[in-house]
Amino acid sequence: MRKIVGTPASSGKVSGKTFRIGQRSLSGEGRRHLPREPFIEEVETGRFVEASSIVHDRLSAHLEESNIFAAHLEILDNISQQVITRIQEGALNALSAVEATRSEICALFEDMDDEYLRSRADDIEDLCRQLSFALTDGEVNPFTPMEEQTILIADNLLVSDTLLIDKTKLAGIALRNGSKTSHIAILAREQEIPLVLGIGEEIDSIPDREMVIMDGDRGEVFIDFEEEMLSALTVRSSRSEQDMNPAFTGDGVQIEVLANAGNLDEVKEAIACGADGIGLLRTEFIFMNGDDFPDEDQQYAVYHACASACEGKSLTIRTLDIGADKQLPYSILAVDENPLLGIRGIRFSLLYNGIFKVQLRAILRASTLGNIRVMFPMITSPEEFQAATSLLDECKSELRNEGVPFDEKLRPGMMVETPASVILASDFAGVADFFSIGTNDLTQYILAVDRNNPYTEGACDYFHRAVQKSLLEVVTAANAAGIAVSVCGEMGSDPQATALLLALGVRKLSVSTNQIARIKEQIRSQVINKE
Amino acid sequence: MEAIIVLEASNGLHARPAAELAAMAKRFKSNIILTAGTKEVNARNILSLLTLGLKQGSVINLRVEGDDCEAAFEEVTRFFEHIGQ
Repeated sequence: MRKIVGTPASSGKVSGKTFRIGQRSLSGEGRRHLPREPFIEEVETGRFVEASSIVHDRLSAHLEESNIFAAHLEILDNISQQVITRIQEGALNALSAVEATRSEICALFEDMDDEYLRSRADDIEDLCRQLSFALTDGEVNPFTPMEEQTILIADNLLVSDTLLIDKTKLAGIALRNGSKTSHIAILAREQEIPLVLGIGEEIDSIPDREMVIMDGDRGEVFIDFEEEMLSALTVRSSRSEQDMNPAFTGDGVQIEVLANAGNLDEVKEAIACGADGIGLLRTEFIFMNGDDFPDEDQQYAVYHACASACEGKSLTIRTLDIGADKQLPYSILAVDENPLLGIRGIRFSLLYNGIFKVQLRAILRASTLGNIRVMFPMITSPEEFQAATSLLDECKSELRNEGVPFDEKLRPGMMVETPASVILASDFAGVADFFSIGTNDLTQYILAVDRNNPYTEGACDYFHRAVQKSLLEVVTAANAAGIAVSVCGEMGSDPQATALLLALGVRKLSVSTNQIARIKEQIRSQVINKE
Repeated sequence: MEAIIVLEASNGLHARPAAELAAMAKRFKSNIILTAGTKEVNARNILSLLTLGLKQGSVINLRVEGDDCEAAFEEVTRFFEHIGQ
């Protein structure tokens, strides 16, 4: 086995077949089409305006995917003005004017001492390249030959490249250059595509069209690995299998198989793959993408779209859980010395209850379809749960006074992911509408092991007896109080844990979309009420 | 109209807020001029804004001149308060 190390830039551990993209420049074909005829200012200006509007339209079509595209539109506008001035005053043809503009602006940024600003040169390169391609015959899409589950290898990628890539085939990206603050890195994180960058010279030793494993959390690429490593991967196949039928155990007990999702696209994909609903909608994504806390209308639009996409099935929204490994780019928090034990989850929301109420109002307004449930993360005491519930009630009466409709039946549930919530499970079962067990955090808090620490790898084990016993306590408390309980951590998505979870009394699982079919198959092979 | 602003946004004035500011500046007739250190730029120009290299704590001199300067001044100062939160 050989390991190559770069900088981790977007998390996820995947396997895939490498596909190398070489240096990209205008094709010989493109160059031959350059005008040799004498310079006519109006002709060149006209050609450029046309090219610029092609690029403008393409970026506009992607505005909803990321606000990076809005920034690109603004930069494009600026570049275009400079190019037109050059054509008119410098008597340059359109293509040369783009090139002159590119090198002048890039030089400005490349001299800056700030890494973030230096990365902006990438944006200029990107836009000028799009303009050049639009001015000539363009280029053949170099990503077309990508096969299923590809790990893309390149010197650098630009934001506009992602518009050419079929993302259903993309498993991960490894780059020679690049920085964590580049827009390609931000986009990879937004779209949850594992990314390792800054690999340097060693990238040349990664073979083309071979299976490799890459770990976006640690910035590692493995070549010539052992077979066992592959089976140990939580496989993130780029396309998920469908299974639209309900899952009954061998003896006829129906188990709900819900899905975890982090944005609207994932909700749609999960429902299309046969999820019985969304058991966990993380809301961090709405907060991570922007430059500031999203307002009520922005949040409402997303929650409402997600609720409609569920086609009548339930949608469980978890309120903001930042802190720990999920920090906001514009966070108002000082970094905790020990973030896992610091201000995260409901603690943040209660501390900044203005931000929390904006989210609760948006969720309530989106609840008119009647399929939304809401839950609070990182609860450790019934008082905390009550405080959050009071804020929810406050929002409800505000909306009532304003005459804004919402689902009156909406009652909050909670994540069970702290040892305190396990120990007090029966108290919580009296106040919460439902439980959702987050096995990832619960396991690391119960075992006092950081799951991202490479030295304790393997110790963060949800098959540990202490974790099993905790699950049993929680399920028993929920059943005694007659409230629903589901499991939404990685354990739920692990087919090897399905039998155990059913034996512990769990009847509802929320899993990764790519595991829906596999988990349903596991359920069908189980018998619960053994004679 | 003039004001001195200390940039509070933890990441400085990066591309996406700069795009927002440039788009905002274009909606007004007034010239919105930012000065930081020895550089002076027009806020309509996103690339100039970026080359100011504004970081958290940078001191900016804001100057707004023109017919609709009061409205422009208010919106721009609100923008800076907003990204600092």
